[in-house]
Amino acid sequence: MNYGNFLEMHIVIIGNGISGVSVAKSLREYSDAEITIVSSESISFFSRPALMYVFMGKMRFKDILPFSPDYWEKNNINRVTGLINGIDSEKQTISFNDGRFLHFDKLVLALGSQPKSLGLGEFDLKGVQGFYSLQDLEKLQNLSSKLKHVSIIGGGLIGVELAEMFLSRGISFTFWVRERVFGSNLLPQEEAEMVTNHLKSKNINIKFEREIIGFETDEWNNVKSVESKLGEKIESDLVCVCIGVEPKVDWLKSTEVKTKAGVLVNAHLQTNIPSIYAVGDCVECKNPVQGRKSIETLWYTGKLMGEYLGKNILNENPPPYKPGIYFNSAKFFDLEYQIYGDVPTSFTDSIGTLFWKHPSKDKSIRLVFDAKNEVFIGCCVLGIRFRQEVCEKWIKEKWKISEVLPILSKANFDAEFSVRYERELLDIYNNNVI
Amino acid sequence: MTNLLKWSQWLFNFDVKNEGVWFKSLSNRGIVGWILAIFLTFGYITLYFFPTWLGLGAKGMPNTGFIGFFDPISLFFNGSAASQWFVYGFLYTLIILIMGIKFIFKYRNNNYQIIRTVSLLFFQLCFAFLIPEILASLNQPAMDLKNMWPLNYYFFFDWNIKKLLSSGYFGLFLMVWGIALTFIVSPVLTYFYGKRWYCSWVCGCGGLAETAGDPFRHLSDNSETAWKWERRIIYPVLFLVCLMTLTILDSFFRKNPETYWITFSHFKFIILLLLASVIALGIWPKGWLRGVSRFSKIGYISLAIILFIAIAFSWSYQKPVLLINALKLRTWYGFYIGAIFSGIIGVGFYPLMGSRVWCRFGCPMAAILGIQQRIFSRFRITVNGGQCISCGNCSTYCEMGIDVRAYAQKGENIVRSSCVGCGICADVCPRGVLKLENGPITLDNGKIKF
Repeated sequence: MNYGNFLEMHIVIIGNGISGVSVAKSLREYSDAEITIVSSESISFFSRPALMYVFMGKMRFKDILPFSPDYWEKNNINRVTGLINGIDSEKQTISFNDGRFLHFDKLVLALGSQPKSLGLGEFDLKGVQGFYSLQDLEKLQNLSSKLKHVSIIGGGLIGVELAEMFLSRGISFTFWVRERVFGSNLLPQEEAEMVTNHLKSKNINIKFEREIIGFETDEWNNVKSVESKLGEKIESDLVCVCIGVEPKVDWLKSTEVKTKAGVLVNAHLQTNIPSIYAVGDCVECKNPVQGRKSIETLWYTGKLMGEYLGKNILNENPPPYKPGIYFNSAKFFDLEYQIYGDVPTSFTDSIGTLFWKHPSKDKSIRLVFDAKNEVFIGCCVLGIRFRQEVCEKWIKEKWKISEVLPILSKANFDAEFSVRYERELLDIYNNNVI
Repeated sequence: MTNLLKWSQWLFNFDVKNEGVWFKSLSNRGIVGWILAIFLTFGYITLYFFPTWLGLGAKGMPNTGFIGFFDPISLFFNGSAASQWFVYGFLYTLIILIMGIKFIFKYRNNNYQIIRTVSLLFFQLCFAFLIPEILASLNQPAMDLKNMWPLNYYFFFDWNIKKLLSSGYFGLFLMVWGIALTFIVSPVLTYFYGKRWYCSWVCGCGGLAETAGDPFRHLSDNSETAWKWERRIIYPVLFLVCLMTLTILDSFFRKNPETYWITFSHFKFIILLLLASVIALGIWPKGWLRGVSRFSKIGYISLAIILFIAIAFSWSYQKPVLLINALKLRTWYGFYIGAIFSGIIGVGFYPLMGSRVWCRFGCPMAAILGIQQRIFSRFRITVNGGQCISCGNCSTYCEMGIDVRAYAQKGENIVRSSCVGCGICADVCPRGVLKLENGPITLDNGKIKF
């Protein structure tokens, strides 16, 4: 790769979440260019998925900072706080809302996402919030000792995190989920039901098939209660809306950067303006790689995009962004979940699946393959850990399911002495074939 | 209802893993933590230096008070009245048993933790407590069969050698076993399993740290500065214990030059051979000085060579090795390292500096096993691809203060000399990123090959 002389280059990154910081970190490995990260949220980069653990008292805020405090100075990365409200692509400057300006040679938008609204104007009420930013956490912490009852709206991962958080602090809450089971648009049916049962086993107050239609407020615009379509009304002095996130690109509408739902980028993560790039949650790929979505609001995607861009932003002939085999993981209370490759939520005749579930414990393995040629295309596990490199290798090299099954133990990543279940899965397969 | 929930969580904390540990005065270096630390520290000081305050009968007088309370138990086990060391050993074992059961309950979903803790309880109860008591009652040398040199720093003391050699075949067996444990058994086991086979499966200090110390594991400092101090203290302690053992054996052999089949000249030859191999292993690029800067490497090696020359030329029947007063050094080490560091600071500071203060900063056994682990062991903690979310649970709950996350977020396997392989990092990881492994390394830079 030819990087030329970029010593004078100034690369400005807006946003210091995992995407923005990954750009800076990987760029520093390849270049001496001047790097500045701008953030309105926090001067220090923290692990967003770990915010919940601070609330639960598992860690202090300083424990969720992934780099040591002297990292930034050692690597010569400038950090600036402030809110950006404009981009001048002609003059190559960004403007802060307090009147400051900053010149850039290349600009990276790592703006992140924001909680979606129910469309009821609920975020204008006092006592209604999402759980996304450091400020959201601070609000929760200030309120936590006064709360009488909380409503959590939305059956996604953040909803479960909030339930876990409130449960750990002994704050009573109602968890409103629109679907019949939890995570039905995320997981195959059997897994969704397992997660649902796991949540129910925690004795939390969870209401399924409920749609929220309105809120009641007092004279000071404080939220008082939540009303569902079935006519239930539950008093809540805090409402957490977490029905998903969307790219945080509203303020870009007034700039020349083209957006749709997110910042539109090409295969090199470049926007319509050549010197401006975008990474992470705020991105909408114009032509996503096959098998991937155009918007992926995931930690892992942000990290991969950031690492790609840091390596290639100064490259004159960059290769296109290729995220590789899809993977994701999550934890629903005590239940760990991992997915590799392509696992649809419902199965048609063209896709075969092999599913094993422990008779009493919350453990399951699902392998997914092409029904026609038996090629292994993905797997997901609950309560069991799988090894990423192995699964990736099988998927990439198009192994047949009959080749994968006998050596499935190679994929196991559970702690030593764990009970193993590959045998059971193989038996299911053999019984089906015969 | 809310209060009920809160209180039940306080009570049953071991059910909900590590929730609220930073909110509680006991576990966040709050007032309760400090009170406990002061209580433990003074408890140790009294037990070690002022046992009569606890009721130990002075000069043949019967025990009273706290120590007297344990007389019947001591009579049952070894037929004599309780000594302060019996009381200490008894309480130590009791606490490990109780807190160990609590630990097993807390980590009941993890078989590794269960089996490991059962092993710790077994070795503490049988090897450290029951077997020595039974041996004592049979008038045999009471030895903890798993406590090896250099953690057991008096193994090569003249009185211990004389005692073992005057106890017939059983004493001889103990002598051979003790030497084999340090020089054969431990390197072999460390090669296969890492130093965890000892530190978090067998050792008594580890046993207390893993069980009673578990509520304080997050208090271990995981900064780079702490790591620096760790190396600055632990290796000098190792050096000291070697030097002390050498001087004591030296005076022993000079007093009895031809009494045993090992003569003084044999002994001198063995020591010089050991020192020479230490130098050779230091020069070897993959040896114990791997990763150390060139400057310090030259420093260490020249120091060792000077030591070698000094020992080779000045040491004779007439002159003690390096002209050191063996008795003084022994008293000094026993007091400052044996009592103050490993006992008083090691346990008393649990609620302030985490559960492994001694193991991390002081234990010469851990230092040797650590060097072996880094150089030739198959043990490592594997990182599962790019799954790390940098949350920091692993680093926070590492009792040895290893910044596990720094490796995990880069996708790098963790091979650190201080890792005792307790496996808690893998257990607290919310994304299943870490796994302790010691299978044959068929991996190429952490990537699997078939």
